[in-house]
Amino acid sequence: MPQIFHPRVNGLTRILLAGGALAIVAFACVAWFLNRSPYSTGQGAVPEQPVPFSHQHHVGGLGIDCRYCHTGVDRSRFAGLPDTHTCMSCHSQLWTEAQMLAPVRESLKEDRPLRWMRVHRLPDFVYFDHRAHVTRGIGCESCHGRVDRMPLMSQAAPMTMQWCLDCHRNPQKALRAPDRITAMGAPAASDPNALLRRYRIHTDRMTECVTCHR
Amino acid sequence: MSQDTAEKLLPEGLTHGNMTGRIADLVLANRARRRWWLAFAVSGVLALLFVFCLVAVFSTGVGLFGINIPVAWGFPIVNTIWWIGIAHAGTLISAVLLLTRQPWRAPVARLAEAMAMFAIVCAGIYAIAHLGRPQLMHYLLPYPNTQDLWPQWRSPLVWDFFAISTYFIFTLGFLFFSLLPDFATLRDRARSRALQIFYGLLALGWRNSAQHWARYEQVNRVLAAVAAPIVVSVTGIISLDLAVSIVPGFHFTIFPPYFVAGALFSGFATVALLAVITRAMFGLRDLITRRHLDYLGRMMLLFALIVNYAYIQEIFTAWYSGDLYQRAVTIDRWTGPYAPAWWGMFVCNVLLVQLLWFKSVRRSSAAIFTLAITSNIGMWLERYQILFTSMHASFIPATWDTVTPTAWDGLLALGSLGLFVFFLLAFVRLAPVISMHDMRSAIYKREQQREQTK
Repeated sequence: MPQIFHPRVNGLTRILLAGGALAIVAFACVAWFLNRSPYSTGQGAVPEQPVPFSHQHHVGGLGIDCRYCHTGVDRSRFAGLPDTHTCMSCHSQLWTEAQMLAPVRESLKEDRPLRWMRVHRLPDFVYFDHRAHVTRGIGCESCHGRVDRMPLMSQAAPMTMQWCLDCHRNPQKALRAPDRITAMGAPAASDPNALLRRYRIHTDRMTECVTCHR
Repeated sequence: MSQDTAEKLLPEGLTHGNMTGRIADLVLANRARRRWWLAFAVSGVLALLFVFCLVAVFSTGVGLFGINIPVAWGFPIVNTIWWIGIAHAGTLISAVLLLTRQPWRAPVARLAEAMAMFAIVCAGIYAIAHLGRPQLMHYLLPYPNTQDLWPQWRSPLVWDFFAISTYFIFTLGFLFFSLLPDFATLRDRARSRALQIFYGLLALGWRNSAQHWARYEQVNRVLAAVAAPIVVSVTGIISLDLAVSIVPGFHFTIFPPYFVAGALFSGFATVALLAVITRAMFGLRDLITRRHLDYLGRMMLLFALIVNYAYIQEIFTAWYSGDLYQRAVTIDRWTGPYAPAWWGMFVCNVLLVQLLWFKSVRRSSAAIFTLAITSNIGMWLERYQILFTSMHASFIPATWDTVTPTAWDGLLALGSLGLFVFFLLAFVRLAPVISMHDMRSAIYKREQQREQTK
């Protein structure tokens, strides 16, 4: 009886077996990296805004405090976006003819709010409260990065659950004195454990499911 | 076992050549028998029904099933446990009977392994179907993710996942491995080029060399030794889904051995059922003899008696513990809305199986066929009454309710039967229904014994 398979099939089989094993490893690696890459987390993304507002200019250059525009940050879950009147408190006097600011003037004239695009977005099943973080010593910079160096606002952190938990397990490194919350580039606190006691933070409760999922 | 018995397990005049020819021709024959086509068509329609119901359940949600508080598990879990139980005897026959060198194992081992394989598929699909959000099933896997999520190891759902997937992988490997020498036989006997290549690829280059056989025996024994704990652990773990809760009727330490015995009882019943059907369908009455049915009947009786002991223990414990709720559940099983299920189970699993004490019953294919069906119905009713009676009226009377299964429950169950039969029928057309190499070694052993007695 003639042979069914050519001797070359032996080599081919080995290549296929090795290739199959390699494909599984490659798939796992690609999935691992892709899952953490900015492509899936959106880290570094710069959504297009109705007005190309520069935090670098307003925060870094002029030194305006975060709370001047984001007024709800220490009082509610949502930090709040400035209404047109907040912009106009300066821009009714400065750069009144600037082409770049035309949408702001339009908004005031038509009494229609500007549609700012959200940059840091959490899923609906996450209960996040700005007040709880800001009044317990977490600086803006910890999550939003060096806003004073961003000409256009971009997503600073990966915003994955892993990233949230990193800090919830070990919040000491992010804690600041109450007067340094909105400061940019502030040095690390000298005695984080004293701050932990001062803010009455109970780290054992901070990784319970119900802390963030309600 | 005496030499005389071993002698009678094989027909007179059976040689390597004519045995191999008969079994291989069942697969290599160009045209299948009409009976096979009829059964294949009917089961194919039912398998399509199963797919249709699954699509409906996945797209609409588990609300289609008759499951609601207080009975949150219902049919899907009843059927998961039932199918897993059926799978068990397959592994026991192929592994434990191999390790204990039972000579009657040879002609039924392949059937048992194939049955285990397809029953575990049905069980696995049911386990996925009962999940509220099956698209998140991968959360059960401990994989590195960006949520820092790890499975909840205290949850029986996670144990289930590992038990069923381990069992699936093992069964698949064991079945395929035992098929290797037979695939090589089919490759060598196949006449068309396409079949030669098909079986040649499946045989993975098996050349029947002494080295191959030495390795085969080695691996087979290791796998069989691994199988023995798997047989006990998988259904044991499934039973813990119920037993680790505090619900009266579930919370019972005897559950793991009780469920393993029940699983083996229904599994042996299914092997007996398939053996009766196979010997009639393919004319193999001389290879799968009445003596084999006799042994299968004895195994059924053995495990039925262990299950009956567990029933007695359950009732005794309800009385002896003095626990009001457990007593109430026990009495509710006899008199409540689900009493027909309990009494049906009692008739099938306690009364009817006693017929197996009689040798004439064990040796009659009609009787074994009937008892195998009633035993499987009985074991299904057993799981049904455990799940429904324990949940529908537990601690808080305000939550008491009677839950009835829906048409979707019934159609999916019917479809899963169809799927099982469909796979099995496809299998017997593609692979030898009796393990040719196990039969050859049985024939060889008989010849050796004859030499010695001369």
